[in-house]
Amino acid sequence: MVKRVLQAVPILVGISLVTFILLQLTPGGPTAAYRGIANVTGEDLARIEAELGFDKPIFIQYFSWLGKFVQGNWGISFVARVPVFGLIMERLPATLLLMASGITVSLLLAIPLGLLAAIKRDTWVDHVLTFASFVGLSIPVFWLGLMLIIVFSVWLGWFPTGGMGPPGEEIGVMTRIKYLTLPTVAVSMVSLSFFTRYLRASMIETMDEDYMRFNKARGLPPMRRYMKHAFRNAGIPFVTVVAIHIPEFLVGALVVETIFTWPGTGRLFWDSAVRFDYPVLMGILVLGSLMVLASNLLADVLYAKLDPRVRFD
Amino acid sequence: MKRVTALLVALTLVAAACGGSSGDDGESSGAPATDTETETDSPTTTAAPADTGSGGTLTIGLFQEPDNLNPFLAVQTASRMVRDLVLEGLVDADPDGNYVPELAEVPSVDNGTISEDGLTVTYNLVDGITWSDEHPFTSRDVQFTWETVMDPGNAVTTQKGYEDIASIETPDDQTVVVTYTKLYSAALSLFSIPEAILPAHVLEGESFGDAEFNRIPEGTGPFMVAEWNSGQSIILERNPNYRVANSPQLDRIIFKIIPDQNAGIAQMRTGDIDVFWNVDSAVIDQFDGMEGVDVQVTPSSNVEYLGLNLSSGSDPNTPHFAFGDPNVRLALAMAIDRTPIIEELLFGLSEAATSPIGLGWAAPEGLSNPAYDPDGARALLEEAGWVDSGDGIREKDGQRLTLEISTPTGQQVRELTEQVLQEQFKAVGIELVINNVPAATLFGNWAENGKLQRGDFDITMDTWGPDLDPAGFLGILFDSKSIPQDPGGQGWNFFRLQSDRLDAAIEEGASTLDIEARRAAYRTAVEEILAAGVYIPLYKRSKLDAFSQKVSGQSPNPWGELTWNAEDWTISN
Repeated sequence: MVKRVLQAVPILVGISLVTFILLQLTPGGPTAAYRGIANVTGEDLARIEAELGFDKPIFIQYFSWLGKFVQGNWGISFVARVPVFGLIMERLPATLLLMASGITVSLLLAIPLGLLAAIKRDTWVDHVLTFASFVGLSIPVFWLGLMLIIVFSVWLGWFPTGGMGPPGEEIGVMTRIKYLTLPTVAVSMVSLSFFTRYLRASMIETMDEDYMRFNKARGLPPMRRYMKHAFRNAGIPFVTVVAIHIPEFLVGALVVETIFTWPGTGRLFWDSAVRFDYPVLMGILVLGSLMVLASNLLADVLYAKLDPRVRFD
Repeated sequence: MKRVTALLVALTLVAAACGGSSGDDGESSGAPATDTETETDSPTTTAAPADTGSGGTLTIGLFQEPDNLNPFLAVQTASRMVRDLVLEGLVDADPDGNYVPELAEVPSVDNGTISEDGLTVTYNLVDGITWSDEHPFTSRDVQFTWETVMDPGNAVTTQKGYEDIASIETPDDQTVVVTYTKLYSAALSLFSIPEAILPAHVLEGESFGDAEFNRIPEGTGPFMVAEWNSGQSIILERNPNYRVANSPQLDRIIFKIIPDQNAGIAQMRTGDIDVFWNVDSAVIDQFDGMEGVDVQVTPSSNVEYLGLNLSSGSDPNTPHFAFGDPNVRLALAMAIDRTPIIEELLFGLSEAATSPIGLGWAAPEGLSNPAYDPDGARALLEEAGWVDSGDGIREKDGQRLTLEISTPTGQQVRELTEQVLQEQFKAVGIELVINNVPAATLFGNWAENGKLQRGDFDITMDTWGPDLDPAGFLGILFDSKSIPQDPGGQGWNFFRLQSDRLDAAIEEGASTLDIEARRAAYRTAVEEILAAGVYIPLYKRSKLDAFSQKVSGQSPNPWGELTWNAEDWTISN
């Protein structure tokens, strides 16, 4: 376990180096926003670049960033002019809430639907579910988000059009759920469809195994066969797939947060990318990489825990 | 239980205050002077009820979250929109583009507060102003603002003009004497537009680059920042210590961040927001017939134009294969019919532009564009040796008259305008190829191979406009010293226009504070630019903002942001 965690360190450093260089290679740069302002002269641009350290060679910039980063100093946002760490931490809870809600909803629905589709294989129930999953997989998230807003907020008025709650007011649980509903639907649609499809396939594969036919032959009741014997085995790869899939919610959040004005890190990332705010981008990218590594680790740990044949060192 | 009681007390107070003030308003508007006097006589007894506006909360949708609220660090328009309610400058601009007093009287040569040579400007600060924390506003704040701008560690957006100041003296708390090393024609905009005065008592000794002030600034204006919820909202509350009695009217202004235009329109429809700032003209028709909502059109100094490259590549002395000939430039201008662009694409909400300076005291009057005349354009091109190659596109010496147009990607109205131009140019035998690129690629600097800087374009479609004082705008865009070149490549004369008469006029305009002399110089400059035919003005960009009919008191001001007079706004339920 310790070894695995230690292995992640050089990976993280490597990712951060590559992203740092890639970011700096994009045309524009943090002073791009200053251009086109008539009062900002060439001397001003050169002065700002020197004062922010952009005139130095890229590797010096990188190691200066890394040195401070590991000490907990994530730098200052060029745009907001406040410390990056605080800025990200302000936005992280909103993203975690949306992710948690998305994961919960997609699992709560995908497990029964996946099982149902597998058990009712090749019946109309299965066909409807298969069709629905493919629709869910292929709908672009931004389009779905806008449709949800138009139908449920503008036409029906059931849900707010966006945000986390009415600005400037105390927000209770019910209000929060109201604001959370549509973004959750949008962020979980793809995963819900994917999980359903995966669980169905995994169940069908298991149900075709010899021991399942033996179970049927020895007269075990269907529910016992499906739940105790098939699901337990089919669930193992499913759990790992879910764990590895967690970072996808972060990616989905990027789009969903923008449409629903959800104030999370996804939107912060987008805004910072448009404005070339390197320190913020680096902070979020490192956090994102951490999340990917952590989900992979989690998948391995879970696999070892659930499948006695696999050992984890 | 305690909280409930407190709430009841507060509600009673508010109710009492509202009732009291509506009566006061009626009387005080007739005799504002007496009203203020009464207040100073017995401030403790009358201050609370008399100093309350009609109340209410107004919600404004912003599609762009302000970067920060520090006037010397922020670059986004949304920042000025919010901070102008909190921070103030020495002077301000009215809708006609005239300077008006804000924290100080407007200096002038006539009353001796500007020296004859224009090198000394004396500001008399308005008496009795305090910051919202009741700390007095003094001449030291002005001096501190200048010191902060010039501090080499602070990475401020611009030092232009401030670097020409030799010293700032503060003979007393109410007087500021600014001495310049050389004449700076836009001196009155300094410390004021779009910047503001910083509070010395808050920022002295603080780290400027990441001060709390950058998000929650302390100001002298009608409102104070109560909270900034990153990514969600910025909440302003009325400043109880604002110097004007019975102002502002509103209790709170909430700026709600809505990054998507369609989401903003939806929230306008549901009444979640009362104002939506800066509606994209491509979607403005969605407000047609929306109940209870009006669109306010504000003219702006920004002009949408076509910029022509005079040179082949970056060397200003190698002429462009087509635009090297002035007749081709003129023919291009004559081939353009602005009517379909303005009427169809802009829903008739803009007007044709005729000059790079379209608004303000320096805008020349009586200019007109070359008339739309496709036959004339064809004749000019024939004369210039460009003849039909057989497929409707002209050629000369084996070279087709194919021109490339570039504008930043992702802007619907511009993309449609390009298609209209494509048709219009084709009608006179010019092939227009659309090659739009990300803004960073188009506007990138020399080292980043920016297309404009490197002269790697034929035509660009862009928007630019002068500030209240056009000196900086003309200099950076049209002066031959601003032609981008290696190394450095900092200027923005990407037309690569070289004209001694133009350079002289720009310099003359910036070398005096005599407004008539400056106006004449800028007229010459503009005429030179238009005669050169490298800058083809298309239309004036209007700012479009949606207002709920519940809001009243707003009025358009091209020189300020939407909220420039928000202290006078009211909202009904």
